[in-house]
Amino acid sequence: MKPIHFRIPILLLLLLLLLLTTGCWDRKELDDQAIITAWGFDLIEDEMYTGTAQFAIPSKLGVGEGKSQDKAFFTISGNGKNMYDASKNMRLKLSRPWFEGHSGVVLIGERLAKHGLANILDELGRDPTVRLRRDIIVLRGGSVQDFLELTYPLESLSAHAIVSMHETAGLNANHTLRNFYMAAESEESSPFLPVIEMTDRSSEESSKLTDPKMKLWGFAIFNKDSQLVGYLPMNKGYYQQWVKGLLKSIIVTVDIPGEKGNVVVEANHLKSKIVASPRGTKVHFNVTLSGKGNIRENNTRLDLGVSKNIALVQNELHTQVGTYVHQIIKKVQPLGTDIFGFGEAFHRQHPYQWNMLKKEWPEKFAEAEVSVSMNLQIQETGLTGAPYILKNREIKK
Amino acid sequence: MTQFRKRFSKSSLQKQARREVLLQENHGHPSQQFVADLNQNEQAMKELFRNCSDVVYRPIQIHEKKKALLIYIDGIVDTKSLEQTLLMPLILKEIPERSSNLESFDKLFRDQAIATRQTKLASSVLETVQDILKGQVAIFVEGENQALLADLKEYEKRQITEPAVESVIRGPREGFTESLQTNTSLLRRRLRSARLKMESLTIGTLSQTDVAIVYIEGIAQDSILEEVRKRVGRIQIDAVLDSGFIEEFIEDNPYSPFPLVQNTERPDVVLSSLLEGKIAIIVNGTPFVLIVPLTFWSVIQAAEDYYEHFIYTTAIRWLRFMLLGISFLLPSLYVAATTFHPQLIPADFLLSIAAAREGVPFPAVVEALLMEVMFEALREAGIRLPKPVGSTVSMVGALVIGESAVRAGIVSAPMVIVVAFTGIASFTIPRYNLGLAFRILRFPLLFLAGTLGFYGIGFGIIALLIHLVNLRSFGVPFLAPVSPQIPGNLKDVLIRSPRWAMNARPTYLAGRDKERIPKGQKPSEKRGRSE
Repeated sequence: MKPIHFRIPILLLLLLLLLLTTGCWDRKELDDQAIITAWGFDLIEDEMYTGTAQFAIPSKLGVGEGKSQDKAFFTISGNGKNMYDASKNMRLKLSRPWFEGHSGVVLIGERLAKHGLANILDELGRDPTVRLRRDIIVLRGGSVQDFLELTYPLESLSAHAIVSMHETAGLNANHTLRNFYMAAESEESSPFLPVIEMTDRSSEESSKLTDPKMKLWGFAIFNKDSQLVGYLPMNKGYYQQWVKGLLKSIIVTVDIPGEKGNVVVEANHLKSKIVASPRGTKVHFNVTLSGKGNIRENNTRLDLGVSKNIALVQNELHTQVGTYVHQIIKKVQPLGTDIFGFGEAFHRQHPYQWNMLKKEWPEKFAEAEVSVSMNLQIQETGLTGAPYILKNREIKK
Repeated sequence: MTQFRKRFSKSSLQKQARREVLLQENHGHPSQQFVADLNQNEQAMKELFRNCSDVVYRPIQIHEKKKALLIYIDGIVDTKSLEQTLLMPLILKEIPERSSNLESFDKLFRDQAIATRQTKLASSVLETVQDILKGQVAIFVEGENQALLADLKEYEKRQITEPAVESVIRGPREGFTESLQTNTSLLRRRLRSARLKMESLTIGTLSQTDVAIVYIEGIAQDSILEEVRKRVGRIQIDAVLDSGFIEEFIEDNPYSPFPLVQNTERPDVVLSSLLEGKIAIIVNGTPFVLIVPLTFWSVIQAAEDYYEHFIYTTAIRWLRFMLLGISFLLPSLYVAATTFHPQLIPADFLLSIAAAREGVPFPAVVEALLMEVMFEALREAGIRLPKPVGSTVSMVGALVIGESAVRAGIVSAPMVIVVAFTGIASFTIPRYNLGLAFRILRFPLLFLAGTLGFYGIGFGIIALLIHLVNLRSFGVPFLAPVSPQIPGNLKDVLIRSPRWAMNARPTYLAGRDKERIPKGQKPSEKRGRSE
């Protein structure tokens, strides 16, 4: 070992080399950057894209006393022949370089979605600073820029509200860019994205209301070319999510035949099982939806403390939900977009037949036979059995 | 090069020679002997002790005819026993007339008068002078060419007080004092075994400081003990004022920021180390006792760990380990994350940091350095300043840093929190000197973090680890028993096992006597019943 007074200069030299040869020097102070919280893209005319970014204004985000009433964000828009051109034009209005590592959501305007997402997916996939965990959401109606200008009462940055609304709605919040890429690339399934809308209340009177002006609307269905081909509103979208196995909980209203009212069941522990069986040239799928339910509301005269009545509710729930889900699937099938996970099930269960089938899967999906069976156990009826107000003689035991 | 070395060694030889000359000038020539003439001896002593106003010459007459002279140094001799045991018998004719030579005095003192004190006869001037300087009384008698030396050493000592540095909530409160004898007695009182050895030697040409190497025979490893004797024995120094003087001479790697020698003020810490096979070095004149070898893991071991319940202690150790990491890394991690890797910070947190940083004129790394320097200044001022002023300084400092600096927009509030937390974390390290090492290394790491981000921090940590695994303390790897891993020795590192489970001494430290506590002593209801 060399004596220490020889080693120190060598060490310093190595350190210097380390500093000089590592390439890009990416030191950036936080206060020298503009933090993007949300992106929005749309198409204003053919071959003319518009991009909008929502930027946080940190000084207005102060906590406690420093919290200001002003908007804690601002937006910048720019137009261009492509995404990057649009964003290049946006930069002309900025005093700081932007930082998009924390932008949590990308909004896609309806027109752009119908035109196809290929371009934007390419741009986002190429940029190393874009996180694949970013949510991607379709905006139904309205302009992306107007939407990003909306404020939300609870969150100082409306982008945060957009991201967390899904989770709160009981939907799996996993609508990320990464999942979209995976679905778009896979042979089995078609991608779908959540849809958000701007509730239109432009009148004087309603502008005083604090009711948020953004709302989850449902889901958008995309084909293999990443073009929007259809919508599923929220009431149908919940069931699609259940079949896909992504739903955590659902609230079902069951009409009881022979009774005036209905029973509301909240179902949890939702599971979905798809069994695929080839039948000649066609494919048959049996979807089994299962879960555990609690009675939340009883508007009938039934005494739900009696197991016979529970069985009645359960049976009605099975038929009604089963039929409804079947209808939804039938409605989606003509689009040829498998958003239910049928292709995956088939691939897993019949890997060899899949190879012959996969080229024409959209067509096969469109003509597949589907049956839905239900297995939802009602486990709790709440604290009371019979409806609360009714007198004894009116209650149906 | 060789020429240079030759010249260097030659000059060092010359220095050695000059040192010896100086020693002779002070204490007389080694071969100088007393003569049979009292006056001449007195002159010789007065010549050596010229201008030493604290030396007392006390002429007396034995049996009213024989002249004698007592020489001692005022203040380091017990005057009461001097009076009673030496002067009274000599002056008041309690000694038979015929036995008035020194040999018979010697015998007399030894047998009757001062039986518990040591006496001896010396004919060498050098020896006598040195013994007088150590607190002995020299008696010269007319016509004798020797001096009788009676050990009446006694000097002012500080009371045994609670150590200021390593305070405990539960555990012994006695701390070492500046007196070697008190310190050895504190050890001996707690370990009444003949196997507790204390080898004494003198270091310092001028100070002649007593140093004791303390170990337990059979438990300390012979090779380590031999190394300690060798390293301590070869020290050549003018004076030893604190054990720190010794420490710097016996360290394995003098350039390492990490201390390789432990110091403590607590007798219980010394004894628990001795029982593990370590060796203590006590230096007269300082309450700080050195313990070797030192291993890294003692950084999270406090004296109290062994007196409190082991579950609590284990939890506290983990906390300390975490805080050690924080005290070393937190400012660097903060700077690197905010300036290089903002993606890593959760969005809301990032935004609040960004909000706080808005308007701060400096880059984060400069901000961190500024605050760290300010904090270190406060800390240093708190130690240096006289106690009444100290509290004012810390109050003003806290105000300046905590409140005004943030409000003035010079630093951001999160940085104040980071620096303050780092400071508090660094105070939790039980070994003050090991904590100092991390305190120093924080700055280069901060520089690396500010220039290279996490890459720099990674580089710094790897360099530190390479350094640490290379360190040895008296031949024992610094990171033992974790690296190299020595099986069966991990009972006192990240966990503190219950006392009845610590059956063996650390195998990398202990010598022949490995067993500490016989097995099978775990308390249980069953065990109580069967007995």
